[in-house]
Amino acid sequence: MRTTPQNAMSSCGLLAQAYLQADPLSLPSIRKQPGLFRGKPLPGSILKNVDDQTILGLAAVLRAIELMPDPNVDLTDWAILGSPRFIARMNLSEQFVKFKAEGAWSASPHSIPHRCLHSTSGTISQALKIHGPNFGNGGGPGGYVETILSAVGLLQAGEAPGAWVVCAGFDPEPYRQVRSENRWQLHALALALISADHPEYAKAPWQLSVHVDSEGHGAIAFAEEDPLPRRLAEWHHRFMQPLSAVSSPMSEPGEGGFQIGVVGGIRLGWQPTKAFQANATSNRSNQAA
Amino acid sequence: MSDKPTIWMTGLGAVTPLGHNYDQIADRLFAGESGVSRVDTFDVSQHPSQIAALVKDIPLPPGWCVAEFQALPRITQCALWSTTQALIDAGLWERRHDHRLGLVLGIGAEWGILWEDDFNRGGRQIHEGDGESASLVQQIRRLLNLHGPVHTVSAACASGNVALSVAKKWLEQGWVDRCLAGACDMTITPMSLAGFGNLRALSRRNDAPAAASRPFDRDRDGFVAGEGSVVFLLEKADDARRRTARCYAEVAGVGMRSDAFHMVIPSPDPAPAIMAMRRACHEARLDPADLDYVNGHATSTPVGDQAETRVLHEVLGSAVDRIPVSSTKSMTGHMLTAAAAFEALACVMALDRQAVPPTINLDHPDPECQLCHVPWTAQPRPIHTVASNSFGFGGSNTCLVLRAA
Repeated sequence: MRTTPQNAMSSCGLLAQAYLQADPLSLPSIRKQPGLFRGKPLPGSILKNVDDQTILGLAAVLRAIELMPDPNVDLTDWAILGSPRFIARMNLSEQFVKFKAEGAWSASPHSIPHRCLHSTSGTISQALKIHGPNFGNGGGPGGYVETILSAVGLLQAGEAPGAWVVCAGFDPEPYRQVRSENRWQLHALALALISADHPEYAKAPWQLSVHVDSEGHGAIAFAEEDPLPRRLAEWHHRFMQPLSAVSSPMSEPGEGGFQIGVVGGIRLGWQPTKAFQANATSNRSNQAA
Repeated sequence: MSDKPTIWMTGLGAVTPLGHNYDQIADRLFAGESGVSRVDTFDVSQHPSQIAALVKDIPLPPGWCVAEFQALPRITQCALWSTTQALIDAGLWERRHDHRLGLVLGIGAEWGILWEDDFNRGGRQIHEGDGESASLVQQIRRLLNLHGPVHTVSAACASGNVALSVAKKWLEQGWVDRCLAGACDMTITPMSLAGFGNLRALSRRNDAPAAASRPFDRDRDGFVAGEGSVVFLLEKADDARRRTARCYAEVAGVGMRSDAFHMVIPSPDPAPAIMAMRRACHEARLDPADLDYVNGHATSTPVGDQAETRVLHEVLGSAVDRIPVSSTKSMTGHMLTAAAAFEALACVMALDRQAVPPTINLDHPDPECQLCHVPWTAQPRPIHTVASNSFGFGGSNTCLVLRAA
């Protein structure tokens, strides 16, 4: 018997999004210059030791800024929520071997600041001089959903006028065999979310909402089918696969969890809320009519 | 006047270098005992820093057999004990399935810790993988059969305050009925201890472990790494009152702001940290001068301690001469991702015992750190509102304000 028979919903706008891919050939040049920030290059010293996922995440943010309706929107107080997936696997796998062979003095001092869950958000905050809250989210399978959820909650609470959701991950994972064959690909997705109170809200091309029902089930839903949710759908398929494979509770029907999907369109993954299901059914009926 | 619901802490669970039950931790904290010792869990003979505040043993949660529990990674053991204990302590263990119960944990390097542990035991997860496992919060959710969202956050050493902030928002927004929130870190591993050491962040006072963590002291030479896990059960005050639950403290406000300056070095501009403290006090509807105690971030590094002193002078104004400030890291070391959660616990204990925990090893206060210190001995005094500063790598500045209910 659950105690709170209520549904909760929070909404926000999506001002811009960018999705980038890199492979072993293209990543070095992106590392050298991930993009211009308001027409100026970023200082190379900031980027020298950062993780690959952070580099591509930062590049995606810079691209998304260019795509904003007003690329000069004030970002100073925005939040940055980074979500690297299995950050630093390639780097650490080499370091473990070196550490075993050479001992304590071989441990890189750059590992602590640059190979942790918060490293992506911290670096982007530093690079773009953004002073709102910055923190890492997730870190493993499904981390991007946690990140979107957290960002929407933060905006709803008035903690920041906007929030960057910056997700990154490899597909395939850079295991030793994959690395030796140079067939890894790195992916990054940057979403610029703004609160409904933001002056740019009216210009936001998309809206998304988080639904949580009395059963503890949840959904992240988009108002209509468009390229952005399709992009998230691709992301979901790419990065939720391993989670499904181990039967995590978040992928098992009936145990709650969150769903990304399009009301009336694509439905993905987790147990949907009843309201979400009802909306989806209603929209499908309308479309059929 | 805000119409947000009041959020209470009604349960807690902890595994720390000072013990794993409330009274034991509080007794040692107020007695000024150090939890720092020489690392004996792996060979540190070549490490620049050979000391740490270690968790010696992790208790067995009810319902687990010893072999099954000990087969789990230590970080999972810690998180399981802390979350289970918080639910039991809150009187909700048997009824945990009856609510939308969320879980927000601060963990900075979950996969790195697991990979290193596996590698050191001859495993090859980092190189080859065998299907990626669910994250720690997802595992806890499944093992405790919780019905609500879960979330891993990391703002390095400020993670615990971020987790409490996220949980507070989820409760205020009605996304959950109750929420476990805290942080967990078991990073005292061969490579991370070496990495921090090579970063020149750690004390090398290897021959005197208990004297090594010396926040605000002129003779400090870096921080001492620590580990542990602290988790709180948060719920709306109205719900807690209805079931006549005990309240440890009201989570009155959390402020968060970023330096945007450097990944490791605190900003010479104190404005972001000042803003974090002011935001927390504003949310708590509190004049900072009315605080009764500040648990400083104060890690025992010269640059960090001095930067925080400037922040406290600016925020507290003339009251800086009378509001006591102490650093419990002098006893627990710097519990890294778990530090903020432990320091929230130290603040809860200050409210409970009506006393300020001391800063041990504070023999010669740094002249650049002129504050109302509490050296060596706990100070009994009326305490109604407390603040806990936590700053992290990545430039995160956070402040938590707790109030007696």
